[in-house]
Amino acid sequence: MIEVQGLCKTFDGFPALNNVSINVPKGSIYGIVGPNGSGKTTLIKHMVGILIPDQGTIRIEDEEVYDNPAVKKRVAYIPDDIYFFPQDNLDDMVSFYRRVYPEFNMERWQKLLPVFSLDNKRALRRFSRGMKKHAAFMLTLSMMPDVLVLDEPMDGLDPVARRKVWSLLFQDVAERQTTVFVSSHNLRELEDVCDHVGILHRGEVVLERGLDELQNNIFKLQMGFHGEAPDFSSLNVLADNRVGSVVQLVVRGERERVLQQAAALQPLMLDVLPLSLEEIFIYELGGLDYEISTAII
Amino acid sequence: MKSARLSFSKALFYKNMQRFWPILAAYLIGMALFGYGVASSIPDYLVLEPHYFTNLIYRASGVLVMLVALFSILAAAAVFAYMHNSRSTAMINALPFNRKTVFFSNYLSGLFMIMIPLLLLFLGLLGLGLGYGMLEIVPLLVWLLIFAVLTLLLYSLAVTMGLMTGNIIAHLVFYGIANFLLIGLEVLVKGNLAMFLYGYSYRVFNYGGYIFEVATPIAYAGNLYSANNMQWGVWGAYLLAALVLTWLAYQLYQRRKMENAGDVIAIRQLNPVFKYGVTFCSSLAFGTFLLELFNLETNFEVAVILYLLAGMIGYFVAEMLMQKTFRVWKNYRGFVVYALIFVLASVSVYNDWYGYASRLPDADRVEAVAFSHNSISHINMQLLKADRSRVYLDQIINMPDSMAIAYGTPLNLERDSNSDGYNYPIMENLSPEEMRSLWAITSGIYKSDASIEAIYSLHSYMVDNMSDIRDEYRQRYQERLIDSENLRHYYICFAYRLDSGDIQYYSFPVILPLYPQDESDQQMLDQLMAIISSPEERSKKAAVLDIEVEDIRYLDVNFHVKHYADWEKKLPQATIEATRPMAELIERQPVEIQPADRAAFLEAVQADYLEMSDYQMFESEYLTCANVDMQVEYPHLPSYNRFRDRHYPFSISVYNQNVFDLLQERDYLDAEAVEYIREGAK
Repeated sequence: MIEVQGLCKTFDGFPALNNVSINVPKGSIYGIVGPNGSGKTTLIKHMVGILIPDQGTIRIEDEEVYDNPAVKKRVAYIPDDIYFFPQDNLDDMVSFYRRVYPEFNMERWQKLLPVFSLDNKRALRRFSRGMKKHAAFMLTLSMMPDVLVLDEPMDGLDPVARRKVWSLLFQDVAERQTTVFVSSHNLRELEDVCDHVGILHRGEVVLERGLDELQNNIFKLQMGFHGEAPDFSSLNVLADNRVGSVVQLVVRGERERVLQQAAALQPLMLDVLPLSLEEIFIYELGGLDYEISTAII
Repeated sequence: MKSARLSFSKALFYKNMQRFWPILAAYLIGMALFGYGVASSIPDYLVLEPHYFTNLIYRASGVLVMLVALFSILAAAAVFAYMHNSRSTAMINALPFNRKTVFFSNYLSGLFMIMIPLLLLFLGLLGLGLGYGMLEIVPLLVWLLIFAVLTLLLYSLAVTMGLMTGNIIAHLVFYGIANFLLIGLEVLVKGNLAMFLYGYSYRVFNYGGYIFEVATPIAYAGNLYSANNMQWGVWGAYLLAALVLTWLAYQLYQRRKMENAGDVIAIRQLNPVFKYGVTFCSSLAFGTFLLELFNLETNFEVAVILYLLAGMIGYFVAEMLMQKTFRVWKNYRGFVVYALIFVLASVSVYNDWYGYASRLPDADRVEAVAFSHNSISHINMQLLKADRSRVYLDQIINMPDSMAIAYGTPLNLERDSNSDGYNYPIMENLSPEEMRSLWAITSGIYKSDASIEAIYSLHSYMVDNMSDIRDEYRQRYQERLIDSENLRHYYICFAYRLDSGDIQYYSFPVILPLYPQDESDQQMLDQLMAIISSPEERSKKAAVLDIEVEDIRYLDVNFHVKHYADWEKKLPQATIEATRPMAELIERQPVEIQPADRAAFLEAVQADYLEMSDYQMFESEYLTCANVDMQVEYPHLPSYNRFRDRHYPFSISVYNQNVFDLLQERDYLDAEAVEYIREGAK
């Protein structure tokens, strides 16, 4: 659905994106994670056609996004720092968006109004940051987009509002096969909602996987041994921790095969413990540097 | 059709109108006030000619030019303001439009806001003209056309400037600079060259001024006074420039890197132009200011240091603006290169490596010369090119009757309701014969071969000795501040009219001792005297006074004592007290020459011109002791002829021996007063 190929961008010589390639399947929720300055917002601004790439392409269903109104009409974007015309209220913005987006759905707008309880006659500049996010979601969802690109969408929202927003997004994904591309530095939040995750570090995608694939490929094994622990070289061990005769191993590999190899070591006890997405990233990217692991916790 | 439709978004247009209607409203009010001003200027007690109304509109249009300039930038800044903020840039560019649509929707929104009031004003003026029954539709349509072109040009310029920057303040500043860039640079460069390039005059007499005016549409359009002298080529060029600027702005928008919102220069390729442009202009403008402030215009070494200091400030300010940080000192290398080039260029100019002051015209092509050792008068400069530009003949007392009738007779005998005077023909583009006839009677313009040869000889002598003359001048300029009594400052100017009609102007400031010891000084002084006292010059000065005495309405001589306070210091106290009443009397009351004595007076003046020695002729311009006011009426001209009454002022010097003899003989002055006046003038 969304295909970014070899995207490069420099700002006055500083490489903001370096050969970034990602694939976002249709109807998926794709989370892009990275520390501040890793290039998330730059990537997103390319995906919605704001910035001109130095190199590379961004396509949605095989069509270039940049300078292509036909594609951009199907893409809705909520930036981290939302801009509304200074004098406008919600009604003004609705009338503007109705002229711009022919698909703008007034029926849905009317349904969303009571959900967020915003005063549609009040100037938007007087709204709080959270209220502006509410307004942006209402407008965006009413555009009935095929692709939603969200830059740190939940910043400034309270937990109740977050739940409301995610619930509406899930509804769109389920009913309309909407594709959602969301950036965040909060991995815990993405863990609950994303089915694909990419991690961006210093302008480069260092990892991109489906969540299932990630979670079925790395495990924490807890084993007890009588006496000296055996040699674990038969396993692909990413980390190990030994407390007395109890050993905790983080192991990469296919689940059944890993369990068979572990059982062959004849432990007194063998448990498979769940790993959080955060832990998976730390172990997967442990070789890069400390910065990533601190940023994504 | 599809492409055309996609290039404009009604949504963006409506939004712009909804957001920026106050600009439209303010412009409408401005236009309404202009229309009201025109309407209220129409007198209701006179029967008016149609051209009166048209002229009224044209003459008032200077104000309108300023309104167009102001609202062009306001409209452009408003509709493209979003580009200067990263949030609004992102919002607009994420909308489902291509850049072409966004650009043209905003461009046309702004243009609409400034064109509609102009059209409404035109309709209002049309109605006004019809209402008063004095409508001239063609000149009014021409007026609309030129203001529409001006609006399009200034608005396109404003948009283009906006696309070069990502900062709203810079947008306004760049627009102002772009409008006056050429004129500003001309003033700065010429002003500085005049200070340091020997032989370069700020008042260089050439046709460059017109080009600079045309290159500044605000100045050019502000000087439009009627539809008659419309230069269609210029307005065609303006229209073309407007279209090119629109195309350029569109190309810049297509390629604009939206991430540069907020930057002073949004197009990185322009960074060096901006940086070194600011550095150079700071050097000249701020440097000149510092020179004036500390009164150091004549000290070249100090001037270069101040220029570099000013340039350095400009350089680092430009760096700070571009990089948005104060930590720019590490980029000093660019300034070092600039400083080296600037010093090299300054030294080359100061020492005239290019031989600017050593140029000479082709002697065989010289038809006439205007010459002066004290700056050429404005009227003489006009007369030298009278076949191609405007001349004010009022100052020429002995002009031929044919010219007095040709240019002094009203176009018609109905008085102008505005000024209550007559409308006269414009005195421009005289025929070559008329021009040459004026050269033949005007002092200061030399036509005879002998005179031209003498002038050319002086010029050649100066060119041959240019470096010595230049160094001597600079040294004496410093000395003159201390020893001004024995030095005199001359401003030797040569304006050659060549057979092609071209004018070549040369001017050199020279300081010479009053009593030269040096052979070269004496030689230059001798040559100056020979020119000033040439037979051609003497006969012209005398010929001006060939006037029928009965036509003279009055002839007054106003004596003055030059440097009275300085002179007084040299006198004993008793003498001062004795002579002060006389000084006061002499200075307060003009001596009125009675009708019976006027012919004799003029003859005495003429005789002096012919009898004075070369030295006296030359010195008489510096040792004047009286101004003569003479008013002459030419009764054979009709009363409505503008040259029927002519005023002629001239000076009397201490060397007008015949005049003083006459004034004593006819009891206007006694010997003591004459002595007093002559001493006081020295």
